[in-house]
Amino acid sequence: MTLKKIFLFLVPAAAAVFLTGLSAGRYHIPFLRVLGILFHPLFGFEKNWLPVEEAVVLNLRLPRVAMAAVSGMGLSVCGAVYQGIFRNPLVSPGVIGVTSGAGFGAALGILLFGWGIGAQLFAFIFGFAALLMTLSITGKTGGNAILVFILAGVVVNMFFQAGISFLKIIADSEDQLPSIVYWLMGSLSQTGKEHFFFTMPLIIISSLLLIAARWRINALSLGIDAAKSLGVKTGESLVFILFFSTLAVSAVVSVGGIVGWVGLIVPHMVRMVVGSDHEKLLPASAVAGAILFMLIDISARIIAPVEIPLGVITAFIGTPVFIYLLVKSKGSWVV
Amino acid sequence: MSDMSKKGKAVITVNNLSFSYGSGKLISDLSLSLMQGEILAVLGPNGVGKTTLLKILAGLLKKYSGKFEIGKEVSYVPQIFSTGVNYTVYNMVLLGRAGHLGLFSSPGELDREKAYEALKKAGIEDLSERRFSEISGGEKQLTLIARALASGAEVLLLDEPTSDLDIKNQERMLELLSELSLKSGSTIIFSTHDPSHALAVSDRSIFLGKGGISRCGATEEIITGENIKKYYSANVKVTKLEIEGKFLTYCLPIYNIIKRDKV
Repeated sequence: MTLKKIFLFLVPAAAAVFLTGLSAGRYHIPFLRVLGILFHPLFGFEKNWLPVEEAVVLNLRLPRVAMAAVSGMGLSVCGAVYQGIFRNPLVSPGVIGVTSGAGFGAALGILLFGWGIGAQLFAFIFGFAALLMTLSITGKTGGNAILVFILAGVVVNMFFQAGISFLKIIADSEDQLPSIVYWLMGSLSQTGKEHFFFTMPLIIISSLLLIAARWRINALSLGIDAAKSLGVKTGESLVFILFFSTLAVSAVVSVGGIVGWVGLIVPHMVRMVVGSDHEKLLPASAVAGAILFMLIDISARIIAPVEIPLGVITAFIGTPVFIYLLVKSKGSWVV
Repeated sequence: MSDMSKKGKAVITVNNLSFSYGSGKLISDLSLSLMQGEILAVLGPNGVGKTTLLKILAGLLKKYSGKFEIGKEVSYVPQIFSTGVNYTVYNMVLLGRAGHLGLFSSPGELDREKAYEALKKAGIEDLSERRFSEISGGEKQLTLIARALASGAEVLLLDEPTSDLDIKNQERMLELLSELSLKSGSTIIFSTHDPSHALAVSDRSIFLGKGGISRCGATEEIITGENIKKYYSANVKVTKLEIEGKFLTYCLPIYNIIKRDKV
């Protein structure tokens, strides 16, 4: 299937889900009104909606739905890139320890300064710290660098998970603990307009840069030695990829907490349709990931009277989908 | 090293190359040189460093001592290729152009042409739309060589290119190697377990042995029953046979097997 055909299907689907996300929720707002509110500044429609509806759509839902789309894109692109360069289908953005590191950093930031820029900054710092830890463990060993890298990531992951548990113990159980726990399980309820100016552009730019390097990722997916022997500057490529993927993943975690599965299953689902060629896989995963994440966030808001954590929903969806993919393809979609 | 005086330019010169793994010496004081278009066969029992030598020359292993010079465009084709990726043969060959393209570029018209030429040279243009994971071992080897050719490599380093192939594909591979050296002027180093393959196509041969010993020279002088006894402890007869009017040299193993008496 050509990329054009896939986009012809995916882009309208994304737009429809986006509008649904603005319309659905505890307080239902009909589609047409949502469109009116969105395009009012452009066309000056007659205001046939209540001010409170406008406030809900523009101030609450728009940032949240946009953040969901952007997060899904970032996680899926990073997942697809990692599965390619590490040549391992079980790899997801969490594998190199960055999600846990960023999660720990943000939780620490919340404890120290409350929600805000401090927590975000800590997410980035500890996201990169986790990456550097993983890299330095890998650097100290020889042999199969990729396998060591993944194992080192698992270890770093566990380390920061322990750190998170520690923070939960010392957090104030009346006030801080519930908010940290809910956020860590994945929630976009903290998303606000301020994320339009920093977090979202950061994730979008990082993802676009990774997508732009898609043919280089094809070359790297042959294996580091093979790519090197073809004259590819592998070191430079890996630094680039790890830097921007860490940036994107840390940014996602800093707002939405730790949401697993999306970065793992979206690339697999897309790969079954478009094949392994990253020229198609990365752009298609970006849009498909955005759609899936928006759908998950919508479900989180409407399934039950209380908001369900995103991580719970992704695990409930991800497990059967993953098993289905595994069984249906008899495991043949290994990268 | 007297062969430096031969006509043509030396594409590869290796001087006193040594390599150790942990405490053991794998390669010790190895020197050789190769002119453009020459083929060198690397022989020796398992574990003496044939792959290591190729990897050093390919720039994939750094912790060696000594010096070597090798042409600019070198391509290494590994022995075992784990078939993780599932690209088409054409896309696989096209990836040979990766070294010429920047981080954000995709292959253009010129790259596509070169990839197609390489497919033709390797004689596998009919396979171009097949999936790499679905073709035979011999076809995979040919694809990887085509990929090396697409990269524009002047020097090809091939790790046991004939090892997993049936007799027909071995023949095809050897023909391809000699054609590349004669028609395209490629300089080729390949490792092999079959001295007859070395005798068939290589100008020069090198034996690697335990403890880092090595011996390099013109193929007919190097591949002798005596050397094979020394390096492999195997009994063979190296002999020239007249087949269909052509004299070909073969290395024939002498098996010491007691046959059951026929009833």
